Amino acid sequence: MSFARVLSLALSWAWLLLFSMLPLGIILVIALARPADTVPPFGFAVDPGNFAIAASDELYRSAFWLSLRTASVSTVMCLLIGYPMALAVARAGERWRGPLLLALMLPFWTGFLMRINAWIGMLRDDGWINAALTFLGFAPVRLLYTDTALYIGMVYTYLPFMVLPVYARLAKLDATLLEAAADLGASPFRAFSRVTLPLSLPGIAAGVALVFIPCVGEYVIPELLGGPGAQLIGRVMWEEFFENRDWPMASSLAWLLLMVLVVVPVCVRAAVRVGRGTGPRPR
Amino acid sequence: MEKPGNDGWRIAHRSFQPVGIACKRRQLNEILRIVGLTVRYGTVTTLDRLELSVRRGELFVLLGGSGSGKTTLPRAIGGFVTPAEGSITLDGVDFSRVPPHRRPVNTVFQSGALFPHLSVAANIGFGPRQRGMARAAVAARVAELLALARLEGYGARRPHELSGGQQQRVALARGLAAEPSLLLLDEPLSALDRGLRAETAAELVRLQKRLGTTFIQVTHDQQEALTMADRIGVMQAGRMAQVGTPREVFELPASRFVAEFMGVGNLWDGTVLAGGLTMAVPSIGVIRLAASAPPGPAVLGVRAERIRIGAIPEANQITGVLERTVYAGETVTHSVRLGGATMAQVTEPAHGAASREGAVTVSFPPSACMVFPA
Repeated sequence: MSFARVLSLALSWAWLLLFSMLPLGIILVIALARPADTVPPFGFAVDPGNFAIAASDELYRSAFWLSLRTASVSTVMCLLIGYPMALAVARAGERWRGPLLLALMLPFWTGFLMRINAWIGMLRDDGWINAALTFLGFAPVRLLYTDTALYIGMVYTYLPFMVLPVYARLAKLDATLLEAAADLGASPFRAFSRVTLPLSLPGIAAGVALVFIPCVGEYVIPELLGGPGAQLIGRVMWEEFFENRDWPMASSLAWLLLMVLVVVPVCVRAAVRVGRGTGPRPR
Repeated sequence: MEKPGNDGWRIAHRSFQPVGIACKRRQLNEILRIVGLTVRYGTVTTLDRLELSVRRGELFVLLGGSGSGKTTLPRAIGGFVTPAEGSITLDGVDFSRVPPHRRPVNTVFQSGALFPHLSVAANIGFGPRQRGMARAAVAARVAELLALARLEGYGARRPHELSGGQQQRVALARGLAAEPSLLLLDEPLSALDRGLRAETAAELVRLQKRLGTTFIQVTHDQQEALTMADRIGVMQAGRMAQVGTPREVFELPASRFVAEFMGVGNLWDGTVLAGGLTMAVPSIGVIRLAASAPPGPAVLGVRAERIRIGAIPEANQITGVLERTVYAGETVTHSVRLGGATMAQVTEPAHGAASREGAVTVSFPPSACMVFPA
């Protein structure tokens, strides 16, 4: 092996070890510790009790459940909105693609917190949306600190992460395949369902993973836009860490969440592989 | 004019019957007629008031260079480009404005365009399935076509697991699966390597004759056109420069362009003299012709392989200087300077050809002379 190769491998392994494996290890050590009134607030031990509580306590279970449900709904909404967008960009003329992709990514030029705060201004009871509604003669509606606001924030924030991988896949799709489908008698709708959609599945899988995983652990959006009932796991963890100062419990929750998030993409990949293996047969 | 309804096509496609016998009886029937077909991309006109008539059951080859419109024409017949003017009539029904999925025409795309996510069998069954054929019937049809394409046992594979030649056969089987009235083949052999090409060409012709389906095949390769076609249409700048049997197109090119395209190596500008049986060519002299041509400016064409080195009695004889010889395996081609900038290309079999140099006499009989309008 050449020196450059050794160096590049060593660097990436060192990076992984230092910034992924080591923190995970530290969190695991804390998760197995006991809470204490010290600085830092735990005493070393090997006590799986925190995991048992994290997995069984009603508060945590409902938080997990709510997070998974919120993330699932957000992901589905991102897919339903993002897929047509990706398709539109992919089918747009060569010179429109660049500007459209730029427009899609433009929000990233501004900080995430700024953008969420801007949404507060729009969704407030006396915000822009309600001002517009009142102006048009409708009654104002309560938006901020509701599930509606929560989903608006989630979909708004994570939509590009759905559009980009789906777009990348659709842009690579050979247009001749759609001509072949039409040539063989498939209407535009059937050409889409039999050719475009199945061939974009890997992009959908990537988009789903990219949206679902951060959505589950999302803390800022439920905190700033969601109602008091939106006790998602990210919020619960934050409270355990900073309000209850129960680091071991928070760490076990973090590990449990990690487990859930590793299991989900593995299942998605397996599903895609199964889908490929038993793809539509002649019927 | 009668508008082709969706149901009409569906019914036409459901009647999967062997059509070969009926075709022989109506061999000269016209199946496709194209009148005044014009296609424009922006300001570029790729088809220019094109006229074409294709007979039922023939293998018609569209031959042309790049930019001739030979790729646009099948796309217009398949429905992937909308003509600006003109009509495409199949069996008496104009369908030039019908969307591709309602046309009784199938295409074998140059790339194959096999669906990568579907098995070979599902690829072949795609057409019949879309046309509303029952599952059991589709399965039977797929099995039949797998046998036809000599791909038994490959039905469950994915296209990428097959060789290039096998993929091409799947594409052909897929195109034939719904029993189209007309099959369009866009350079079906261009993706194959040389050895496989001749074999596949012969197979394609055998298959076409057996099924009796009308094929319109696109190629840029004159050899492929000559060996495969029942009739050839040579395209030039969006029009048909000449339509005829391979022999007609090869031996009696209608124009200088067709002659050049069909590999006539010597084209000299000159003037047909009064009487029409002689032609004056600058820096060559007066050439005797076999057939009478209208007097006036004209182009003289002589195939390089019709010219001999050496003096032959009764033939046109010209003296020149042999400048260079190019070896091409089976043949050698000599470049002979006849005077001024006028050169003659002379091809002779490489086997037993004497090595030649210096001053030579070249001869060709009047029957080798072709005269085209200037």
